[in-house]
Parts: sequence; C-alpha cells; structure tokens
Amino acid sequence: MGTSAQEEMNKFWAKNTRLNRPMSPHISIYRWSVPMAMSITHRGTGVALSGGISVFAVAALVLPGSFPHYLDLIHSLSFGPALITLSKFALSFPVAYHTFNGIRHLVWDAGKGLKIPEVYGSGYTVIALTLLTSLALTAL
Amino acid sequence: MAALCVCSARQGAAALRSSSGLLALRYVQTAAAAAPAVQPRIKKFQIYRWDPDTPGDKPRMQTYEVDLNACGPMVLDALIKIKNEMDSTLTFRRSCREGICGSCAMNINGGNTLACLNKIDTNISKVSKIYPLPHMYVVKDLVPAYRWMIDSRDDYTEERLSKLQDPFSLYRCHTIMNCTRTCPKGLNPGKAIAEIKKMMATYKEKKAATA
Repeated sequence: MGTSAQEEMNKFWAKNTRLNRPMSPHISIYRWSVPMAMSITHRGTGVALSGGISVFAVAALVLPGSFPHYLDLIHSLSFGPALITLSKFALSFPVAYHTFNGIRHLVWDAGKGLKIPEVYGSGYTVIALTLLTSLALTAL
Repeated sequence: MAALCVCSARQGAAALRSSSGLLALRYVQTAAAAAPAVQPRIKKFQIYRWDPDTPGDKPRMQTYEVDLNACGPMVLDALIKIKNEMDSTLTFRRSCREGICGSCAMNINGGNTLACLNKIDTNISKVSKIYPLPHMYVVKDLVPAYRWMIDSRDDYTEERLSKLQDPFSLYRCHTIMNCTRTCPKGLNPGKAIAEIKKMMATYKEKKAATA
C-alpha cells in the first residue's frame, strides 16, 4: 500500500523544519488589488460590527444605570461638530459597506458575477453605494 | 583622416595588404556609423536568493542588469540570460518555455505567473522584482517545495464531496478571487469552487433521496 496521505504530509513538515528552509515572503510582496482590499475590508467591518454589538449587549446587561441615563451623559459631553460628524460616519460606513458587499457575496454564492470584469464592476458599485449611503446617513 | 587613425589603433592592421586593409577599414567605418543609433536598454532585475549550502545564509535580494536589446521578451529569457552570462548559481525551475508545463511558476512584480509567459516590462526606470511563489518553503533561490496533494482521481464523486464536508478544505475559500485574477492561463478556479460549494448544498439531499 505504501505510506498514507497523513504520513506523507508529516514527512513533508518534518523534512522542511529539519532543513531550516525559509518561508517565501507573501503579504510583504504581493501586489494589492481592489477586490483583495475589498475582501479584507469586508472581514474588518464584520469583526467591528460584531464586536461592537456584543460590547453593546454586554454593557446593556452589566452596566448599572439605565439607557436614558447614559444618553444624557453623552449629551452632556461637549463634542465638537467635527467629532460628531466623524463618529456618525465611523458608525454608518461599516454598516453600509458590509451590507452592500454582503449582497455581492450572496450573488457570488449563487454562482453569478465571478468573471474578473464583473468582480471589478460589482466592486466599484458597492464602493459607490457605500459612500452615498454612509454620507447620507451622516448628514441626518 | 579617421581611416588612418583606425588603422594605427588596430593591432595587426599593419600586416594587411593595402586593398583588403581598405575594405576592412570601410566595414569598420560603416559599422561605427550604424552603432551609435542603438542605445543599450538596461533593465534591473531584483531577484530573491537563498543558498541552503551556505551555512547561516539569510534570504536576500540580488540585483542584476540586463540589456533588453540582447534578451528575449519574457522574464524567463532574462533569467536564463542571467544564469548563462552573469551568475550560474541562480536556480529556478523551467521546462516547456511555452506556458503549458507550469514549472517556471513564480511571483513577478507582486503577481503569481509563469516566467515564460510574462513579458518583461520594457520601462527601464522600473525594477522588476522576482520572488518564489508566496508562503512556500524555499528549496533554493526561486524553487519552492511542493507538497504532494491527495489525488482525488482514485475516488468517486460522492466520496470526494464527503471528503470536503469539513471546515478546513472547501470552505476555506472566502471568494477573494485572487486565484482567477492571477491565473496565467485564463482559467477561473474561483467560479469552479463556487460551483462545488453549490454541489455540496444539494449532495446531501441526493443522499437522503437514495437512502
């Protein structure tokens, strides 16, 4: 029968570690592209939104005061208009981007839009919709 | 006047008889007249190097200069020229030189392609950067260590699909689409994997139907 696939794999790792072979560079040398950047942004916004909601949920359970109490607390802080606008954009951008790119992912899961020109086209559309939506939400 | 200067500068010209000497001088003159029109186009290649046989050697980048006027159009032509004329220790894989065997796969200017199909960027103000395929063990210079993949040709469809039903293989694809973007043969593995994922969704239904 010879060696199994598992044994072959172990032999591979053992040999390469023993010979102290370097690992070829990857993230430091690979050329960035719009689809690649959009993919990692989708992950980043996803983690941020998920983390933010979890923190909010835990805070709601754990913090002693009521929600109106904390709302008044935030109102009493003197935020400049620039900081308020920035915070609104920082909240609306991940929501908008992740939503629109999420739809793009669902289209891909259906097997559609996977040719490279289509990937770029849908990508630019998501970016445009995200900026429009988040700027509109920020202006509210 | 110029003819006389050339004659005195050339060793052995004195040994030529006057008629053949004049012909030789005429050839040299016309050649000299034609030569200044062609400037050498020097392109710099920055190539990843590592030698396993030098103890304590660290991976480094080495720059080579190639005259594009004396080199074929593809990156592989430049690599072969460097190996033949400048540094015979430069190590890389190659075979068919026509984009069908896959031996010369490497990372050129940040993208994974075949060196035999990748045209040298003729903009000589830019440096061409050549690395081995990313995130692989390096055997030497541009040669990666390939892992022997499990051959799925000796299994049947259902068994193959069931082998993928775990969080570590098929579903590690996150539709980043770098694969299709970089493919030097115009294939679309991203789409193919998306189709396999769709097949996975219906395969269990089939199994339940036959059970």
